Amino acid sequence: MASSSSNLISLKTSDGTVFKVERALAKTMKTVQAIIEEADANIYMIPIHNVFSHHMDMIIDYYKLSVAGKSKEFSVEKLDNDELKDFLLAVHYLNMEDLFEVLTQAVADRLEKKSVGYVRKYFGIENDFTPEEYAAIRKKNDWAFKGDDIEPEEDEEKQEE
Amino acid sequence: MFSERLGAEESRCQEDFHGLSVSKRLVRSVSQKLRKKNNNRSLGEEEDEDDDDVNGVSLKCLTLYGRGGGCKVGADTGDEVGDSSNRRRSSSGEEGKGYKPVCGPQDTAVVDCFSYGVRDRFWRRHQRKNSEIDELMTTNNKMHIFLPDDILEMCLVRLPLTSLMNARLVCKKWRSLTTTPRFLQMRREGLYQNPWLFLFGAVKDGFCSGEIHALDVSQNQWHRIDAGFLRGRFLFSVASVQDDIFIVGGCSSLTNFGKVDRSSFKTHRGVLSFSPLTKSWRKIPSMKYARSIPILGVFEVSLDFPSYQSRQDKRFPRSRIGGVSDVYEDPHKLSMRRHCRSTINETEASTLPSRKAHKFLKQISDLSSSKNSRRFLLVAVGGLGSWDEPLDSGEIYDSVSNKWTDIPRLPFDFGIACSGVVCGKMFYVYSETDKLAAYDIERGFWIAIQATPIPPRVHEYYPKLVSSNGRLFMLSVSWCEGDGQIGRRNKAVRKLWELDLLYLTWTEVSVHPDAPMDWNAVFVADKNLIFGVEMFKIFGQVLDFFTVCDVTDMSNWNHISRNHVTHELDGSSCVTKSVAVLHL
Repeated sequence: MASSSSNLISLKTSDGTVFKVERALAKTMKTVQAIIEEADANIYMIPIHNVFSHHMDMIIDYYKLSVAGKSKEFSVEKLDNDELKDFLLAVHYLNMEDLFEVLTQAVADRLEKKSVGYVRKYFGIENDFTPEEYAAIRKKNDWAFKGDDIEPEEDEEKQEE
Repeated sequence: MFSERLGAEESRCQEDFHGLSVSKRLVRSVSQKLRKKNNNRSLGEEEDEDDDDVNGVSLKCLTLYGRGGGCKVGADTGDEVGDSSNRRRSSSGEEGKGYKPVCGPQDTAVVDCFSYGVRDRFWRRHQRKNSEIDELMTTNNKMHIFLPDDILEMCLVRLPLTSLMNARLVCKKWRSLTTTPRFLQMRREGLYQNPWLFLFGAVKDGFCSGEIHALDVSQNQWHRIDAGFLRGRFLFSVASVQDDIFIVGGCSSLTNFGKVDRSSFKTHRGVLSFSPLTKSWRKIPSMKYARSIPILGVFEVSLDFPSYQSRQDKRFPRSRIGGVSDVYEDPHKLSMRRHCRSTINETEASTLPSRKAHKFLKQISDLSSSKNSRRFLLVAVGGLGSWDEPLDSGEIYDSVSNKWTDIPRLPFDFGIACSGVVCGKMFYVYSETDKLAAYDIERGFWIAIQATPIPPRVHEYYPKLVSSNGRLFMLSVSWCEGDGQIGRRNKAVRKLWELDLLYLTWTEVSVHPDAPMDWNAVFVADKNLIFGVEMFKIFGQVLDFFTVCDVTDMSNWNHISRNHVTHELDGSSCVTKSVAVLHL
């Protein structure tokens, strides 16, 4: 076990900032836990790549709220879409289950009820469907349009019995 | 490490990256130079200092490499982007002019990077490419952060159905990601699904249009599905089976196709399966008897449940059905019987046929595992026959054998079945004369249940059984005050009762908030929710009321939708309506 003398673990973010966090918080980061456990000797400082100080700030905020039982109050609304994705990647790297779930749900919430075009833009994806393919899938999925008839699976034909 | 950032999303830059073979050491050395910032950003962009320190490599710098065919150490320089023919032409012109350094101000930096001798070529190429790159970088002002597939999946799995359908239109990769069985299983298990109510039997202008109205409960949004294959069919029953809805029996007019015609009609044996997710339907083998409004029940069983085919030859002693039995005297014996069931099964005489059945099932299960490996049994009892006569026969469909098999008739003094539901391993059926019977799916016989007290009820309103979370409930309309006495103000009210399955007693649980105007109200359950659908015609108008109750929080019935559907429908829809609920 590292730093057995104190209850604080030092984490160094990619931008060189050192955060001293409670052991309990470090425990929620499975990646960090693994590093601690693998090391035979005491570790002074654990470097966490892909994580920046602004990520750590939010992680500490979340931790504080969840300890106080107010994890529902944690909000990522102020982050724009790319910042949210970025944060999600950092949390994924650190392997923090609860916060990861919160963030994936936040991404899903932002995509909910949005148009296909918005979602493409959000993820920077190009449409690789041909217009015919697109129309075919759309027709199959979309119930809202009047007049779309339900098709028999394979070659079923309707017969009166 | 930076590969994590890039993920697997398509992008032109990405393709270029793969084409490059840049050694890590080299990249790191370049990034170190980058950190000594210059103000001479030829790309003309604002950048944070922080960005450059990402993993020692700036993504934007790499982009440049990719586009400009940059640092191709040891790689064939003939395959860079753009026409190489210009290379030589521009070299003479550009040489000697002040180059704008692309990365790092110092010549030494450039030397380090291009120590393999491609320096000149790079600069020339850069000059030509400069404007192009400028354009690229300003249109994609910010480099998109790409999520790797596994993270993407974890986000998409949380989407409600309608948004998920949209996600499938985004691109081919997303379509395949969100339609794999594994993804769908993850969605099911992660409890990201929501209830959807499907209302059948809509009659418009006297015509059975075959329209299905679907309510997405979580979004409170209605959808309409045109189901042409249901046109002209009425008084069928529906049951939800996994992700599909089974449409069983029903009638259609012989003379006026499509009309709700009770004078000249034909009763069907046919069964159809409708899948809302794929918006398709298929035929299921027909029942043995034609039935309209049969009482349906669905059992989900394991694959090694004994096949119903083998039971056809067994005879069931009449004495077990109906009449006086031990059960009447001592309800505890019923539960005792259940306890003994497990031991009895082991010593059951029918070892040989069931062994065969097991083998048979194993083969079938291999075949069916690709399509829908969850096995189910669909029971259909009662209903009205071809001459509108009430039926007491029953039959059961096994998804594995894909056949209907007879089951014993309802107990002989049972009366006309008016409602039924599966709860645990029993199919409970209630009759118009307030008898309750249960069909034991494993043992294959009916048990008459004497449950007390019988909830007093208004005669015309037949109770509806519903089951949720392994509990059995009944909705029954009774008089509230005055008990029907003449002269006193009487109020009819619909109450929710629960049957204690051990002691067989009915207890009142809650009162439905709406006045019971619809004698043909439909109640269906999904997980811990009970949905009520009422439609009735009043003052020339057809109204509909959708309510829901959470069995874990009994006192509350909530209205979820009012008068959204029925303003277009005929009054006869109140009679022909049926509802199924799916978890999608």
